[in-house]
Amino acid sequence: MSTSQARSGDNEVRPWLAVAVGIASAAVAVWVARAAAAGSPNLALVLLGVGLLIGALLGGLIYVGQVAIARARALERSNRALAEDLDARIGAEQGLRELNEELEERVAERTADLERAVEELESLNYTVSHDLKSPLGAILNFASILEEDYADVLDDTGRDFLARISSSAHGALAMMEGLLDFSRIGRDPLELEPIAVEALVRDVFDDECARRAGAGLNGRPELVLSELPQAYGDVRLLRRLFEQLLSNAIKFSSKCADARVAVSGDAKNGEGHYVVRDNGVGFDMRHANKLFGVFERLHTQDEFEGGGLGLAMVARIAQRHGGRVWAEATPGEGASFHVALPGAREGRR
Amino acid sequence: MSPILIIEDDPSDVAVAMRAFRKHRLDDKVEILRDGQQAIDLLRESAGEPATGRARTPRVIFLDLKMPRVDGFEVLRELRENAATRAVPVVVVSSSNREADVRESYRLGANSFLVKRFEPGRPGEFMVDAARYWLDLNRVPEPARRGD
Repeated sequence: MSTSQARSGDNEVRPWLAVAVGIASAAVAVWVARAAAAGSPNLALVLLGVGLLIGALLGGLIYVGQVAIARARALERSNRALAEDLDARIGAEQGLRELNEELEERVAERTADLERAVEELESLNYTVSHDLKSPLGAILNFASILEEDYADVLDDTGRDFLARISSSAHGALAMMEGLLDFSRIGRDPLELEPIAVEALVRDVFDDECARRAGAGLNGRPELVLSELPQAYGDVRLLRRLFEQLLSNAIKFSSKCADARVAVSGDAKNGEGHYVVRDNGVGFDMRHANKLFGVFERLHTQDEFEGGGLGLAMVARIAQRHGGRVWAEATPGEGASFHVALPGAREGRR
Repeated sequence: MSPILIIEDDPSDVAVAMRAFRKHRLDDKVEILRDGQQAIDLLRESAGEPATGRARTPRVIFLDLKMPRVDGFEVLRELRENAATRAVPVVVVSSSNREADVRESYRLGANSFLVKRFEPGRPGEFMVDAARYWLDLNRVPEPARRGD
């Protein structure tokens, strides 16, 4: 800054210099002309004219020269400023790039940390569930042995307590199994292939009805099956998904006189949209946010059996396929469960 | 050796299984070993004994996977490396139904994989069911003779 200020004096245009040179030239011309006037007045006139012209030209030249030099210096100065500016920008860009790289590194580190944490959690979930199975199994086994071998030393209250121990241990074991299953759904690698959803739904529906009949549960609803688009996914998981949705639809419409389960779907922009609709008990939409949570239930165990993991599993399976699930319902009028999955193809297979 | 060998470290599981075998009057056919190393040592020793005409090896081995020190996989590997025990049916019994465990068991030469069952009113009976199949219905090649 101080150097540029010191230099600024050299670049000033000094018009007085040009004027002085011009006047001096004119003075010389006048003096020459006077000397010449003694011999020939005509020559003196010419010399005066030429002298004045030369003086004016010299003055002009000096002025123009000064202006040119000043301009050149100003240009040079702005060039230098530009170069400095450019340097500063290159420096800033470099800084930005470094900052970006650092940020990317940090994001990658955090992502790796998160992945590790999730993996550890899944593994912990698995180990805990697995290790808890043995003592729970022992409780069940010994309760069962007590019931059989020591029935005569127990009164009705004792037998009732024993039955409660058994059923609690059974419940806990079922939860463990569910959790293990749930964690497996999140961990196992996907094996993707085209899936004929329509045939799969029909098959799952028949299996589920047969299972319920075998378990002495009532109700085989009417199945209304529309043409369904083919999906692209892991058939093991998508079968589980439809098993859950259909088993729910059958279960929650089982107390209905003319129970009906409708499965429809379409494909748009490569996304398959499937709807499983029943005319059963439905639910209050105010509780819809709880629907897909782990161990969340909207009905008591006495009303409808279930572990509270089914829909959480449905959501997880859809999520693993890059899809989503949602539901709509009216109490007493039934529920619709929607599944959207990417990679669908129109038409049956 | 007894026809049924159970290699299991959990005392509760052993007690439940023994009760089930006793109920079906099969308990005198059962031998229990509580850890993997013991099993390996005994099977080696028994295979090297002079012939008496009695079976040197069990007719079925129930093998727990999760045991301290020497686990079920190591026992299985040892059983399959030893000519005298190579053909003895091994039923892996585990509380895990993890696919990786199932796969590894069969890769190492297990003949069956059972996930421990807790059926109300039938404690430990799945072991008896399985033992009956391997003893009464299944046939295996004659045990290898020395030099085979």
